[in-house]
Amino acid sequence: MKKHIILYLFLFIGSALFGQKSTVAGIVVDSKTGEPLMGVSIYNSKEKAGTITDINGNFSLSLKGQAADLNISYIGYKSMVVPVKENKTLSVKLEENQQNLDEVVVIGYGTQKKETMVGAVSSIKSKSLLTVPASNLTQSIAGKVSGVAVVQSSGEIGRDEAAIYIRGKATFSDENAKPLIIVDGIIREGFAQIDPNEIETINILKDASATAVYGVKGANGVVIVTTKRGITGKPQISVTTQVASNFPMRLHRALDSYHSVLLKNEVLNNAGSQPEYTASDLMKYRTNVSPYTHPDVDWIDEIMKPYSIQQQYNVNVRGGTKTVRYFISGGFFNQDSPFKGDKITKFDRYNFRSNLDIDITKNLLASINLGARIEDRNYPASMQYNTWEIYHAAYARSGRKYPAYNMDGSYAGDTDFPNIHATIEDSGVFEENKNTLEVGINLQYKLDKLIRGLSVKGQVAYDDDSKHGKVYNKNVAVYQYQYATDTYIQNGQDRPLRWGWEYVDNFRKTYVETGLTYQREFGKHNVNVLLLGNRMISGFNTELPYASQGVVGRFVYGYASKYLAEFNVGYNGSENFAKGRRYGLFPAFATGWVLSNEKFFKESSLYKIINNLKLRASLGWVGNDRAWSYDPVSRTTSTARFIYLQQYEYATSDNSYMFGVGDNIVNGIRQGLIANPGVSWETSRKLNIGIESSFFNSLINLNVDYFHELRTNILTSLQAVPGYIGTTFSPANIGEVMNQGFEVELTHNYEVNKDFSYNIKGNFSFARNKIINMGTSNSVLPYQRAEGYSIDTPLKLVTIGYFQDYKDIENSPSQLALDGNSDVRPGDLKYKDVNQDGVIDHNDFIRTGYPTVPEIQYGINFGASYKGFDFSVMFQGTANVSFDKNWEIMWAFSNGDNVYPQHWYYWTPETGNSKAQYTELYGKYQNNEAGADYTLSDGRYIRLKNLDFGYTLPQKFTEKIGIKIIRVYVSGLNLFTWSKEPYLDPDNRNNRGGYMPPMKSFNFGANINF
Amino acid sequence: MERAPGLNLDESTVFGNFETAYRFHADIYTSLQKGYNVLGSFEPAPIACATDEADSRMGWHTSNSFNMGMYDGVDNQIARNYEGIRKANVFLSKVDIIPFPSPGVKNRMIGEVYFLRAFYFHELIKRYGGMPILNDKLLYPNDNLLLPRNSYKECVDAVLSDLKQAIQFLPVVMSESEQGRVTRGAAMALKSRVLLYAASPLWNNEITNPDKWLLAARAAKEVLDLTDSVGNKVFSLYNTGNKAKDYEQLFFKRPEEGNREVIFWYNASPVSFSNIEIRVWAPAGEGFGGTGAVAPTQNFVNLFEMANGKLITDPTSGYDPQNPYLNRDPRFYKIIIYNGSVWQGTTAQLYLGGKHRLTKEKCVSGYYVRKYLPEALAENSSSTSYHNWIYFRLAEIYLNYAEALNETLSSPSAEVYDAVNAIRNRSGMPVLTTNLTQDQMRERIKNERAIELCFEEHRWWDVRRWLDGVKQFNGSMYEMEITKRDDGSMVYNEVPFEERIFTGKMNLYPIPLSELQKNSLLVQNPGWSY
Repeated sequence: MKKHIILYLFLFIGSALFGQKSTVAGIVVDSKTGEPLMGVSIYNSKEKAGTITDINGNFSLSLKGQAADLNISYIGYKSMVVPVKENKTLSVKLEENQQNLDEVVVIGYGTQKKETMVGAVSSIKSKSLLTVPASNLTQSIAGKVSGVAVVQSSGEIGRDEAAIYIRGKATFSDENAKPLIIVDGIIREGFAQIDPNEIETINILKDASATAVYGVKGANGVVIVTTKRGITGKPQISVTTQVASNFPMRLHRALDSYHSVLLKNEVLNNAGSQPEYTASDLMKYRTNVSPYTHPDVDWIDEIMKPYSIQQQYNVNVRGGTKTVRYFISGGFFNQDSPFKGDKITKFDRYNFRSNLDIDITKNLLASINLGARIEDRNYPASMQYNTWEIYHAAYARSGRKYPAYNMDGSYAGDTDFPNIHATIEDSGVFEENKNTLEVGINLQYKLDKLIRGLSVKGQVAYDDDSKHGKVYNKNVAVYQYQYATDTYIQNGQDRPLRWGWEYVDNFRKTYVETGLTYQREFGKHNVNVLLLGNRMISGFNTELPYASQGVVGRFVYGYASKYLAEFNVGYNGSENFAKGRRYGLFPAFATGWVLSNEKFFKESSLYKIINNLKLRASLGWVGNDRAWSYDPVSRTTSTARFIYLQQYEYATSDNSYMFGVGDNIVNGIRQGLIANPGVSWETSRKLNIGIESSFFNSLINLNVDYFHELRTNILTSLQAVPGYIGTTFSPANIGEVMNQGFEVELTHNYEVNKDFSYNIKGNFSFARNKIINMGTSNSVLPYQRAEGYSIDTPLKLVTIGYFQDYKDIENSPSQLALDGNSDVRPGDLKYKDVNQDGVIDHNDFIRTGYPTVPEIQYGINFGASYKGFDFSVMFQGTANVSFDKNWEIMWAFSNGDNVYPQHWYYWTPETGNSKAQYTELYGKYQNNEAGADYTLSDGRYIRLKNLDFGYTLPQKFTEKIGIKIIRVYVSGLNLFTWSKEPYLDPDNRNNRGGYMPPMKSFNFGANINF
Repeated sequence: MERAPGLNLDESTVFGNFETAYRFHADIYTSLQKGYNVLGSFEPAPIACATDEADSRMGWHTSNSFNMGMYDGVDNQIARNYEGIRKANVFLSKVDIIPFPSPGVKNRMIGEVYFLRAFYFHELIKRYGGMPILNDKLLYPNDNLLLPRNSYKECVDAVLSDLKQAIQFLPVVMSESEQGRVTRGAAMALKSRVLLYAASPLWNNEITNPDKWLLAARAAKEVLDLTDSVGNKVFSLYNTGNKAKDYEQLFFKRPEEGNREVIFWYNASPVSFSNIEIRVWAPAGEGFGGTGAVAPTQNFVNLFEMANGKLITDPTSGYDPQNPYLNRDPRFYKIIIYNGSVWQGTTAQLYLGGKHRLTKEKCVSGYYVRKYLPEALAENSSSTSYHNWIYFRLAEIYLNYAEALNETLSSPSAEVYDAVNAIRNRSGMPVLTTNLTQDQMRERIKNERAIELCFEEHRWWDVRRWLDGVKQFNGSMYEMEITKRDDGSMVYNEVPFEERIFTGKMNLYPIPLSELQKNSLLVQNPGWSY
């Protein structure tokens, strides 16, 4: 060591003497604020010499050579290479790294710097939501971040909200698997209808460290939606206008009439019956010469518009003075009907938001947040109950029975085959108006005078949703043409539009919270403490309100930005459990180590490659108090409120009994479910291990997370309660599920030069759950138990082909033991004798296929900009997912007497196994409909989800007309889908395919900023 | 948060007040099921559609499952009836704390509960055979929930023991304000039916025991002879002398309107045409407006005798296959809607291509049911009518008596003839010819039951207990295919429309797989492999 010092001294003197060595000194400041930056790393790779800036941003470094390049890097800033000339004092302005700018992340009850975060959180930025023509926000999330599965099962306008699952599904019922939604700090019922222009970020909290503060409500993960706020400065006005054309995609079409009647005759012929259609009928269907008696109506073409229009407009302004900052936004969204001739259907949405921040005094900050929304939905009256009436009718109704209109222009049809034009145009009107008001007021008071770093905050919020539905009914007669007599038979009556019924729903919520925060640095120690109490009461109509209250605590400690530790705790409870069992403590521990901030790491050659490396781990317990219980036998979910009480209830009027002469109806009283006094919440134990890393000066960022979750106490109906018990026992906390997986996020940003930059973002998530206990009765065969398989894994017979001939049937295990199966023919499905007992029966069903929530989710985004042009494209996909097809989407003539393209390729001895796409056509389906995996469809797909191409007019040009930015763009949604499933949209997992599939959209938009 | 859920109905409130205990008691009745609609979920079909009486064209009607031989979980009444039994047991466990207004009311209410418990249990054992007997047990989650099945005989004894209590506690007549509650007569009628079933071939290895028939006959006779306190007969056939019109009206007339034939029925509010129990039965098509789901088969129509009392298979009967609806049993015209008959002013066009049978899918068989459809209830009319489902009426008891007594004798006695003829007389049918053998009499009684009690949920059980299922329910069901010639005349042709499956094992339902999976102690019925 000594030797070295002497050597350096010698060299120093030498270089001074010969003018070869130099000392470089300088100051590093933030390019925007001009503030000096401390701890900036200065490094010369040639001489392996380096230093860091002091508290005033100054540095000095001795170099042997005269000219050298200095690498200057600082976390959160763009790295620079500065050439040094002789003995010059440098003044370096570091530019903040755009990508790291947003690295303050909104978490539960606060914000945190991304750098020091140890929880697993993914973020979606406002920009990536804006140009997507998705009709609601839930759809826009798909593919953007890891750990989130989005399933959009319907494309019906105004009713197309997608289901969101964070890290898969770890509880039985879908109702219980929903993530907690937080909008601007308040638990809210959803965020689908918020105007994307109002959004700043959407953060997804995934592990226990991030969600423990939500205690008994956080087990399914949390979606935190944060709206935009004002920024000090001149008002920035932004105007956006978008018009999109929505094209229905993957419409399911029936086979045309001629081919349908050929198949119909084939069925009858095979069954030994007389054909229904004569040669003359066939000729008429084939040539379409008699469209009124032998019609060929493609009901999908008949009623679906090729495209429908969607518009979206938004004006917002954000700005602020020193004391008041504001963001105010107004938006309008509208979709018109996807149906032809439909003057009723529409969806209009008006959004309004105003966020104000006021510095009342130096220490007192008030925020007033106001969000309001009006949603108007109109549909034909036939759509009042569900989302599939009209579309389903269009694809399930046979087009060969009746023309759309008779010769005389009247509606054609009968009571079994109502006319769909009439259903749309003349069934009446269903109007629903929904108004939503969300108000929040925050106060924060800094108590620095008392204790530096301490502040007290409070928040009150009030939400009010009201919904008014009105139904006006109308009836119209349909007519059936009688060729023989040239007359019409009238079915039904014409009745004018008249009042039907109405409903008024009201939802109210009040929320109060108050707490203390403390944040301070002591030298290298960084401490952050939060302590907060809250209380929420919400109620729907006359229901007993849901109430919950609790305390939240967080303690964050960091040492020199290297060693991080966090303790989060939620102590809260809900009114759904018995007194004394209401509150639970939910702690989470997390720790992180920023290796790249270690001196040894910085000095190692690895640092040149990896400029940021953080390891983090968390372990915690979170609860789920959603009051739903799952019944594994019926596979249904029911509400389970107050099941700790033995309740008695009045029977409904349907279940009342009458005594005496006249109408002396006695409303009975009956015992409700047998109480379960010990009922409690679901508990989730979550472990998360993650690595965050950046390579080549943050050119590439890679985050990897592994998680393991054990969900216990899942509220489940008891399966082994025999029918003779004569009552229903309350569900019990018996379910247990293990869920684990991993997530990878990879980003690459590169600014090639001033004009050209690009980025690539990819994410991949895998989550697989396994049922450990569902309370399956011991009498169930071991291989048929749900335990050991993922939730909702189908129980099916295994199809091993079609029977080739009668000999094949004779030589195979008998399938006649299947329920009701009296006949097996060549071309019928041949099943695997799983237990090898020589008979195919209910013992040969096994668990097979994937669940309906995809195990694999991924997204790949590529974006680039060149001068004024910008371009981005995103692919999104899922894999390891099944859906089960049934009824008309599976079987020929099963409903509405309809057939579909796949039925045309039915089995015949000529097609054999290889070419057949469908079983034999015989008309007896008991063998084939016995419940085999034949109906399972592979739900995997890759979708060109978004495409966006924009052009920003040159600023020097636009500034002349007083506009800062004009960007015009075209974008698309769901443009292409590649999937295994050939006929249906792979997300349309309703088993009858009855929901209108998601729309493909082409969008034109302009954004103007003043 | 600490707010109680605001429920004021806890256990002590419900049973600590007579008003609420009375309501709890009333609710035990609601586990009764009206047999108009039982099979299926949406607009259910009657069990008649699973017998040779009729067929349903609706795919969701589980009668079709029965007809295809698919029995697992179809007509699964286990939960429903045991629920009734549990309600009864909860009530019985609380009788000591309920403040009854008088001992008389207390006794009556206890008697009702015993009857209902017996009724619900019999609903189960007639389907499955022996089932677990609970007696007064109320099982809770921490109890051992797994019970084995009891034998059919043990179950019958349990039902009879409850009925003994019921007969003891129940009054013979109810006041008008309590009309609709079970009476002693109802308990005796159930006893008659239970003993008749227990004496039948199904439960006696085909060789029946005269002693059992004798018990059944006596039980029936006791109902026929039941008198009130002043010595008047409590029940009598609804007979105003209007013959077949009386047969039609007895299903719509209430006791206060002079109908004393009905022993126990589901006392319900009046219904309109839009109620499913009307609409499913009501004929479909122009002028009718119903769903027309229940279509009587030709097999059933052929059971109607000629008005002269002869079976149509008798060459001397005068039956004309090309004019098949002429001179039939007067009840035929009150039970069946056939081609050319008039319902609510509309003439049924049930020939092929006629407006009520444009295609065969519209009406499976060429017939609809008229019984149960009050003329007052029409499409688009808001008028209502009482429509009480009958569980017991005196005509059944006459036929129970005749059947049981006939089995105890080498040849039918006058009492047997009298019992059957009482039924026939009321509707205007001639009396039975004399000198029938026991076997011939048995066949006539079976046929009389088929006609008189049709669509009343008897045939499904009768045919099984007689072990006649393979003969009656298996194989082809026929429709009447009527074609209209150009000159307006009709050609009648009986053609099969459906092949049904019925094998011996189907005399009893299988224990549903779902129940077997909950309890390995339950032994499946013979022949079933679920």
